[in-house]
Amino acid sequence: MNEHARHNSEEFWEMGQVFDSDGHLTDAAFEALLEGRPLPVGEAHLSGCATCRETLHSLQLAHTVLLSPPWRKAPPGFQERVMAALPGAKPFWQRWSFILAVLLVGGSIAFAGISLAGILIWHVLDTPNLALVFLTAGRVFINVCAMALDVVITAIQVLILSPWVPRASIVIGIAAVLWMLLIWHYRRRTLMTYQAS
Amino acid sequence: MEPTDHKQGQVSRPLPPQPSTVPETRVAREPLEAMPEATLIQQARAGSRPAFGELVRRYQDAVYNLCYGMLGDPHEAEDAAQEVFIKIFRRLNQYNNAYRFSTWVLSIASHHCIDRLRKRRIMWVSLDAPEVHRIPQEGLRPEEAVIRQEEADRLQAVLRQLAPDYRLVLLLHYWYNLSYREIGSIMNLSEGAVKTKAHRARRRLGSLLKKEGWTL
Repeated sequence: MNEHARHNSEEFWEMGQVFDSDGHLTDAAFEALLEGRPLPVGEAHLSGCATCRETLHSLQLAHTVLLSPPWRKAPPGFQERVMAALPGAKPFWQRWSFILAVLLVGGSIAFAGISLAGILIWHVLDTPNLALVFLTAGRVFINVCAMALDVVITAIQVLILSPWVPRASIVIGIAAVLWMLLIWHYRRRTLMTYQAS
Repeated sequence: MEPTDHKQGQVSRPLPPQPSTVPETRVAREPLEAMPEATLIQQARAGSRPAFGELVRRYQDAVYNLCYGMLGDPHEAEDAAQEVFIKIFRRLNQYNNAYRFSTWVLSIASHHCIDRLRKRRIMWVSLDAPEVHRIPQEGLRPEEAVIRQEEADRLQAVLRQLAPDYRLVLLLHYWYNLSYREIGSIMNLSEGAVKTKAHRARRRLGSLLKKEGWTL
């Protein structure tokens, strides 16, 4: 056998790679024997070393058993259950952004309605007492809503759900402040008229 | 038991033809079953659920078997496998095409099983033997099927006695034909460390098998 052919058929091992400090075969040597790679020094050692024979036998047993695994099929209907459990694809009325938008728009309309009613009652019916009730109700309502909104927006911002939420909260906040100033102005005027009467 | 294609480095075994249970969309012009994996991944990333459904069909056995091998309980394995696919669905955009998809899937499944085992250790330990999952063995006579099933259960019982990291190395290497390098990338270990672990795991498994009366 020429040198080239020998290179192709055999591996070259240094003694330190074949034996450990206790004189037994190394992990790499066992691996080579397990895979059927030629290692004459190791094979010769096995005939005289019961410990290494025992180890090789254990390794061969594990190797053989693992080569034919008990392959199981996924349970029937598994794929359908996975597909049903996937997140997303909810109808639009179940999405959190839609619910939040409905609450915001609904709350704003309710606040605008109550306070507008107060302004109209004062101007059209000229009954400051009743107007004061509406405007006070509007003020209480907007305070409660502002607190609730603050909690919701803070929670959403903390969770960083969507980049548009902080921008929307600024716009809504400015609108709410303008509304509150308007209501404060009308309430003050109504109160002064009521006190004068 | 089906033979493993140990040399080719393929993770998924040839699956028997199954009727597609996922409705096809107008986007999918060719049958999903015939579509290359890369196309399916691309479509699933773009939001196609049928494409993801096909990926689930192709990998369900591989993921379920890894979960079963690691957790040892059929019901827990099914739950875990389902959670793995939901994770995969959520992280599809993080998948790097430079790696094999199968390795990425098995990596997620491996980490999920290890997490579950950690939580299990903290939360609850069953004193009863886990229920055995009976699977009909196709193409075998009833008595042969019973013998195979018993053998599989005995092996599972022995595997359960191994440390989770030993079990994982052996399952990924033998059942899924992953190289030591690939296992290293999954377990965040060097190739040498995986080799050492595999050797020790084999040695431990061998002595456990001997103790249980297995022979070559």
